[in-house]
Amino acid sequence: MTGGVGMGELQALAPLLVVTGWAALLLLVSALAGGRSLRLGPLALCGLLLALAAVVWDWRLVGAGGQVLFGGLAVSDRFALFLDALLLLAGSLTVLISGAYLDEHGFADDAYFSLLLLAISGMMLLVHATSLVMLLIGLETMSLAIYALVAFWVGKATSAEAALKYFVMGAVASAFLVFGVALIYGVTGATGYRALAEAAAQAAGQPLLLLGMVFVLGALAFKVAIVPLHMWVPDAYEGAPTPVTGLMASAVKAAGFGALLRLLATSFAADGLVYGSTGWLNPCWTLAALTMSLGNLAALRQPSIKRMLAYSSVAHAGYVLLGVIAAGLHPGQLAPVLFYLLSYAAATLGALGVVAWIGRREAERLTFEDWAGLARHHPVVALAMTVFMLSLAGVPPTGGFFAKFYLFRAALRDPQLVTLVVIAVLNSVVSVYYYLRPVVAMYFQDGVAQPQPLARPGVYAMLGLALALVLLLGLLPGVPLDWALHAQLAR
Amino acid sequence: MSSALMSSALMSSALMSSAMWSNPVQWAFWLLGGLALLGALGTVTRRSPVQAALFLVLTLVATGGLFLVLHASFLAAMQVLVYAGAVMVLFLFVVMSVSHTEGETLGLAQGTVGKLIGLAAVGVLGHQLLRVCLTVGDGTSVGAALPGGFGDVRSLGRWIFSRYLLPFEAISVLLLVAIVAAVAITRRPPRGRAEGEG
Repeated sequence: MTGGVGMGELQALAPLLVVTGWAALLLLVSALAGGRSLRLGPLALCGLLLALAAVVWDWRLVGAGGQVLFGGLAVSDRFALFLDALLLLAGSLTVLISGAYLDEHGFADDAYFSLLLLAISGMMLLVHATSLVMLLIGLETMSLAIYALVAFWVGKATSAEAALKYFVMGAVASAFLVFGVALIYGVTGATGYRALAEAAAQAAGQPLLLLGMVFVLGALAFKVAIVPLHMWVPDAYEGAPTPVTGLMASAVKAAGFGALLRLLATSFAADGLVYGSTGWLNPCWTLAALTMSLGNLAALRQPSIKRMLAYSSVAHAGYVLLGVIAAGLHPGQLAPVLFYLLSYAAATLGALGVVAWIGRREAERLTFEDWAGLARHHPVVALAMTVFMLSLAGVPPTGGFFAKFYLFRAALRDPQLVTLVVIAVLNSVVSVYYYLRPVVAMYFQDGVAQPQPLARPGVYAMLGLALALVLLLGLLPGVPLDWALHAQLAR
Repeated sequence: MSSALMSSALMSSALMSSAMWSNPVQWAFWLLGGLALLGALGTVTRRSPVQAALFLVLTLVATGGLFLVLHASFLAAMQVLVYAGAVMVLFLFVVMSVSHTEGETLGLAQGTVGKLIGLAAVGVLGHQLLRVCLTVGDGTSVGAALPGGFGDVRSLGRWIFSRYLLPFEAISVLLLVAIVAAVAITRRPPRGRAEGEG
């Protein structure tokens, strides 16, 4: 057994190390400040941008094949790096809007930004993990930080309720994950994905292995909110501070799906584990259909925009699951899923950014009536919100259209998925109705006088960036798609 | 939970072996496994939180003993020190300081549906376990294939700081997150704006 860690391994994990180290730095700075209130947002942003630079550097470094790290415990490949970039981008947008939001709603920001960075480091660990052990640690790091961020609104009952619900259910999900890992290890004697793939091919059809797989996949499905494990979503998304809701809808989802993709495409990819009465194909098919349909139907009737976006995130998890199934069946088909995750993250972050922008300390303004007549006083933000909504609905020329287009086209290559694609298209049509509700309220209804929204540079910078991203993905989809096409899993 | 399950799996495979009554290790295994299961059952069935916590101590100590049977002396000591010692003392502390009245019970009265679901889950898991135990073979080989120095401090340390360095460090970060998160959400609500408060 040789000890020691190579410099190359540290370089390949540089984005993760930068984010984790920077979180510790932020903690240190706020500890040294000794009770004085600091604005740590810009410093946190620097760390995220530095990590983004490390991602770009590593993209060249690891090459197309990726680099296996620490004897197969983790990997640095372009798939993980693409998702790293997505997570860091979502984190940067969240940090940009958080400063003003924290001030407005009277949070002390001492640990907020370091928890945010630690959550992102957990997510990055999740997408880099190629061992069930690392998967578990990454998931827990992410979850613990997110629970605390959801509860950060100290003194607000809905925030505490949301965090408690999320925490209790999440703890049960984690218990299932540990249990599943134990069962899988018991049957195959392996926790690394590569060894697991070989052992699982031998043991396919072993009931305990299948049970373990169901538990592990179930825990991940909980995090990305697949029906019937979505019960926590509306309350947690509504009760959380709005920037944290944005992070949960974009980054947590992307990280969870990243882990799910890698798991299904590399270690559970033996024929006996995919097809047949015991394979994961059929249950995932059913779950995807249920998730998109239930998410969309529930979103139709929500009185609050934040709750509507919560259910919309459930529906989008269904679409992404369709892509994950396609990618699991044909391991080359990762790019549409990655593109979809990016486009959804930009649009939902933007939409929740507008929700954060409109809410003041005394009035959160979450109902559709509160948004009436907004376009008259704030035409630019109303237009931005319209673009975000159209992107979520999948209307051209936004990123959401191409995301759905690529995803459905990839899925249509497999005859088993045609029905599911038809269901998904029907669902997208239904979703146009509720995505247009805030637009109708803003443009075609007369509102009463409302307080001025949160007009701060960080908020406008965040909205502008999200808008640019959504339009860029819609007008020049080729460039990010090309990157996504290079983002292959290490074999 | 999983340790109890694993011990029961090992136990039933030990049951199949014919040589079990002659071996004192098997006797110890049986005793400890049974105690662990008994404690686990007590933990989930006792209505008084203090009693449930004490049964959990029993399970943890018995699991520590099981580690000892598997020649993992360091793990056994850590199990008893950390879990049965430190963690459970904190548990009992919280339970005793939270429950004020003498006869307070856990308000987890479950309906018939919940019990049926639980029974079904137990049935499925038990059935699967039994199938595995029947196919794995006898339990006499447990501990036979271990490399030299297995389970002692030296080999454990070597593994942690070489091959499993990344998870070790990642768990340190996880603990940091837990501490920061706990401190962040238990602070007092600010009275005024953020500027005025520390």
